[in-house]
Amino acid sequence: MSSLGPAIRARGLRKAYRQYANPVDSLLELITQAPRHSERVALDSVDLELKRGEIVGILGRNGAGKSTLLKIIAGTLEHTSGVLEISGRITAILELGTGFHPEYTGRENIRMGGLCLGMSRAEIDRKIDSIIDFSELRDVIDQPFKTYSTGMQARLTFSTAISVEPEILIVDEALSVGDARFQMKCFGWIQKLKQRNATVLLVSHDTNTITTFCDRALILEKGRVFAEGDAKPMTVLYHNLLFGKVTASAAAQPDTSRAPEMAPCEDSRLGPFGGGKSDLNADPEGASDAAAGTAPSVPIGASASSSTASSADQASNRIRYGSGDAVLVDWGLYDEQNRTCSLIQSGAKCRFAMRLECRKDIPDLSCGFAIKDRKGTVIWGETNVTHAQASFSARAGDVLTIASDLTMWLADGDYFVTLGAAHVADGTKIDFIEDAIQFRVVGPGRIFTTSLVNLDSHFSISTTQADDISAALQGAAE
Amino acid sequence: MALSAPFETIVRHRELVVELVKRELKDRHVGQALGVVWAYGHPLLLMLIYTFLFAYVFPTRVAGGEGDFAVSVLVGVLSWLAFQDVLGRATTILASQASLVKQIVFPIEVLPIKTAIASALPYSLALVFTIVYSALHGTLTAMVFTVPFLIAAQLVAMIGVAFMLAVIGVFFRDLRDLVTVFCSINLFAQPILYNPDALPAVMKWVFLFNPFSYQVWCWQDALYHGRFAHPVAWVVFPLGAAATLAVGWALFARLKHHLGDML
Repeated sequence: MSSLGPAIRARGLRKAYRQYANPVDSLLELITQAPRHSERVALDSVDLELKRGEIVGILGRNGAGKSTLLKIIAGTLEHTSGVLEISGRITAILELGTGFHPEYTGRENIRMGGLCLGMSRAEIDRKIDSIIDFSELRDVIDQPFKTYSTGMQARLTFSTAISVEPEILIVDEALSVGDARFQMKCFGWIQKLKQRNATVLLVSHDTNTITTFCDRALILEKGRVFAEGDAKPMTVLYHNLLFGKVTASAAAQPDTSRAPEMAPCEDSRLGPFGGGKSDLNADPEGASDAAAGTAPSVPIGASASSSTASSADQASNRIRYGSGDAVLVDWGLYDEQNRTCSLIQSGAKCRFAMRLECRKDIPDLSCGFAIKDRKGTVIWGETNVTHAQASFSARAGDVLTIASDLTMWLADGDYFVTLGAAHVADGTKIDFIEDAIQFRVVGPGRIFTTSLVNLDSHFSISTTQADDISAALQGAAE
Repeated sequence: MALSAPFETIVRHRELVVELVKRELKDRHVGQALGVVWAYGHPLLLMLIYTFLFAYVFPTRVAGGEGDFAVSVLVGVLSWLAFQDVLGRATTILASQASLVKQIVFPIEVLPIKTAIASALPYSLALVFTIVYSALHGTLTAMVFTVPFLIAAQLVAMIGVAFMLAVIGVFFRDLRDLVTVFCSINLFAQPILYNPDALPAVMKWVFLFNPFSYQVWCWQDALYHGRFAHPVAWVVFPLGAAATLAVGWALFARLKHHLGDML
């Protein structure tokens, strides 16, 4: 491996598919060098740089050029113009079961697949056991590939592909069919790869995957790099892009390193609250539900877990939606002295609080807080409904102060708080602010750094004398 | 020299080529009771039919001929059938393996190579049969030792043609049907089935201009005439084979970058 320098570097990468009215035209064109085609531009002046040991995610809607980009980097497609420099052995998982024959057994397919991927037979023989173990298909490895479920096929494909020990790994959605546990295992393996300084390029529609595993992400839109930056803000931006809050044309300036388009959008979201809200109503509702992939809106807590949204940058990247029947105006995390804080000792007492200005009568109000971790998983949540089993009746003009006093038993880490108010009756959201509060917990320090919670544990080891044991054993024998 | 490139590919990917050839032969008859037996049995069966036809049904006596004319026919038919086999398959090699071409980092040069080898290999048994038959009918001489050379030359030509047809077939899909038509005609455009004594003058010209004739003449010299009866063919055939490979490889190398777009 040539040690330094980027693993992948692209400058002004362009791909135009040539479309021919008649298939013969392509041949004639190659021979005569006279153009006989029309062009469809799939990628246009894409700049890209991936350092070694970096995991980069690519987001983009269907047809944005993701697969084209991956194929060009993998080398199965030629780019039309631009510069592409790649250093390192590439393995691409672009499709499931490629080079795999349905009639052959899993074992035979590993051998063939390995050869196709450029391994020698001796290398495959050496690795086949670990491949089978990784795929967890030992029981069925000698049965035909066609009898495998999609997930099993994905597992075998992935296990074979990664056995090449690539310096650059390209994965196109292939993992999404594996079950959650296998996905975790694959990502664990990808992390290991990263530690060995390998570069990973990942396409996924699951923004959770991107935020969890990628150092950076870039969004492709209409064949261009629309935005590029830290994974988390990119997923938020992508979410907005997907549901039409940011239009590509309005934000098509190249080289947007962060997401400046967010700010005006946010304003336009907040502005009409309380005023003309009918048009606001449909959009964010649909957006959040579609994004979460779950239909019904459960008041606050659960529905706030819309898997996409989360933001490190409170000012600019927050997602806010709701009917506007009431508006959240003031919120924060407060310590015991009632001071706003964003850093809190694990085990300390603290309070979440927010104020809700009601603009209409709300006879069935549900409101509360939910804490999410970095991956967007809701790890705690509470509303007046979950707390007291009853909704709250508020009148227009009321200003409610809602607070939850608690002891922070979370372990070391960064967390995000979603605030929400909703109607209990039909689940309509009134005002939701994703990731309104960000705070950091400094852990107890005595436990695993990977711990999620602080169980206020007290550890001890005591010695039992050997004599006592033999005495006890004798006693038992008699 | 550019001509060494295809051989370097074969050497570098030899394990893959071996495995792909094995697999192709197996795949053709997958799920059949006799399986791979068909791959070898089919050419042998054809040989038996030609033997029956030309030794018993239409026995031909050639004035001043070296021996049983059936041997001449068998040798010619054998070399042509093997070649025809690759012609029939080559045009669709890449289209039928589109996923390999497009989806993974795969040395697609091996595909035409393995197709040519997989086409030739099943004729090995038929070749043994033909040699035995010619031995039994007294046309076998020391010329039999040129057979390995002829096999190599024909394989080189077959690989070259496979490269050409494979890559052109992607851009020009009609090629497949053209080749099919060509194959059915070409059997009669070679000096195989004709009694040399009763040959119209025009056919002599056809043979001279048909590149496949030189291959047939070489094979006939080796196993039927038992001497270098067509010295020109022994120059034209190997050189032509090498040229075919050089052109095929160059064409393939030039066009392969565009394959991803076309499939």
